[in-house]
Amino acid sequence: MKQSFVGPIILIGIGVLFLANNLRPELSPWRLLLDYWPYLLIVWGLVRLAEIGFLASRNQPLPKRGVSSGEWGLIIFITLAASGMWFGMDVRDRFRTGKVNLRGLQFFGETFEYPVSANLSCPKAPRIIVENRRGNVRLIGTDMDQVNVSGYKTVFGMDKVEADRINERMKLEVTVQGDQVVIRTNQENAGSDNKVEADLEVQIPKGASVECRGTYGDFDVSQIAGSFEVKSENAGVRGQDIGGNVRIDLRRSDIVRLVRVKGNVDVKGARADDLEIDDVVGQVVVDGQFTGNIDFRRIEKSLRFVSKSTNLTIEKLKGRAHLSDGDLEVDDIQGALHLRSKSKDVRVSGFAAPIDIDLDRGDIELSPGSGTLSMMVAKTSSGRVTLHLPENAKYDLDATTRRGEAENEFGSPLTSREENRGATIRGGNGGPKILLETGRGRMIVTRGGVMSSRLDRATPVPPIAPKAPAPPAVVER
Amino acid sequence: MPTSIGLVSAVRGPVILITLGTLMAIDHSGGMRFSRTWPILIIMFGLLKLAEYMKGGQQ
Repeated sequence: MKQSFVGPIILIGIGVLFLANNLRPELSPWRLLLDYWPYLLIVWGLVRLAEIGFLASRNQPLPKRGVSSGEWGLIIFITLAASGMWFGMDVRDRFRTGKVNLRGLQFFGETFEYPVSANLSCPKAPRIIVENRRGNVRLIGTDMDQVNVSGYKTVFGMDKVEADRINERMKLEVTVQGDQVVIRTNQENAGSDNKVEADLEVQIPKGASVECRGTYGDFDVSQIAGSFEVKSENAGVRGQDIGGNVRIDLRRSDIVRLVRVKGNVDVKGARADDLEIDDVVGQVVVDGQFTGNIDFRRIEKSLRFVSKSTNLTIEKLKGRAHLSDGDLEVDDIQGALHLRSKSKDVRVSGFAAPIDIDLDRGDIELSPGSGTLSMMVAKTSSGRVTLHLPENAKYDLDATTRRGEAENEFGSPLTSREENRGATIRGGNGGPKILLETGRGRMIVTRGGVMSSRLDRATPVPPIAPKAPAPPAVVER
Repeated sequence: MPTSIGLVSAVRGPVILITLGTLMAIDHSGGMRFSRTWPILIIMFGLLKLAEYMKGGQQ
């Protein structure tokens, strides 16, 4: 089999890249390679195809394999390295610690900063639209009837001349049209290849509504009477003291934090880390995949949380609901609770309204308040179910484990009985129905008592020291 | 004289490579992510194997 000429071509290509890097760094050949390597694979494949076509047309013997295993090794290496670098950049993008956050390899060149500012008078309750592709924007409501923008643009360039040229193209634009104020940083004009970013601090009238659009960067809005909307590919969003509704639509996010919202809250996040929503007068709807911690506190109307594996509704959350990967803890609710989940350990305490829990897998622990009880339905296919029943409550309990033991620590009037491989605890005094069910696991009913794990613990419980190992047994012969 | 079965098996590598490059290019240009489109590679591989088998059957 004849040697393919792809190998030598690749060698030549690598040589040319290094040479270009040394002689003409402003072309940033690595950056080009990083952008266009998938096309390299396509060209590589086409060249091999052409070779085979050529051989076949001349009736020469074909190679048994079009691409040798060595080549496959190289292809896999290139793919992993290049996508790994992209991933690395992505990760770096997410860690927005410094002011400068630039895409692309920074082998050469440096960053330049240009201050921006604008000041315009506007109506008392304007609709503010912010368009900032990359960078952080902070908007604060003030008593003045004007928009006051200050901040800086960051431009990455090989030298000052190039940076100045790019800077010229992306002008800050603030326009007032009727009751609409548009703040635009025009980063698109800088060209998609240039790395630019704008960080702004904007003072706006208290009565304003705010609409933010971006691709990458945080939005932080506080003290406005109107609504707050964000649409971005990737953003951290913080909102405080918002008078109107809040709508957040993100593909990715490291944090969404909302505090004191008078209107409704609607959060959509395709992939997000943490979520924290406190003190909302309206209703809250959250739909997304969250990998970190989710906390809700004091939601006056209803809370609805939907993800791939969990569907949770809580009416009138007085206390706190905390969700993490495998847990849900809810404390102090006035209204009903509905939960469907694939896998969660659930603890609910301090409730009087009906609750309805259905799990595919996970433990359930219920500790209703000391008042009157309402209907309770709690089912899990696999997991332990624990009910802390108040001393003087009225109830009609029917607790079943199909496979496992039942522990009746409450005593009379409840009675436990073994059935097949499972057991039941039944009994009551004419109160609302309590239906507990587990497919496999322990069923426990106790008298009053405190949850084994309480929410809002002041200090974390120290870990229990492991038992000292038993001394080695003496073997007698 | 190369047989058509030899041609199909020789062509398999380059075709898979082109497919991989195309999927990666789509991923990079902001279209469907490679993490969603990768099964196409398996389908292509299966189709080429099937073509090889069919060619073999004809002879």
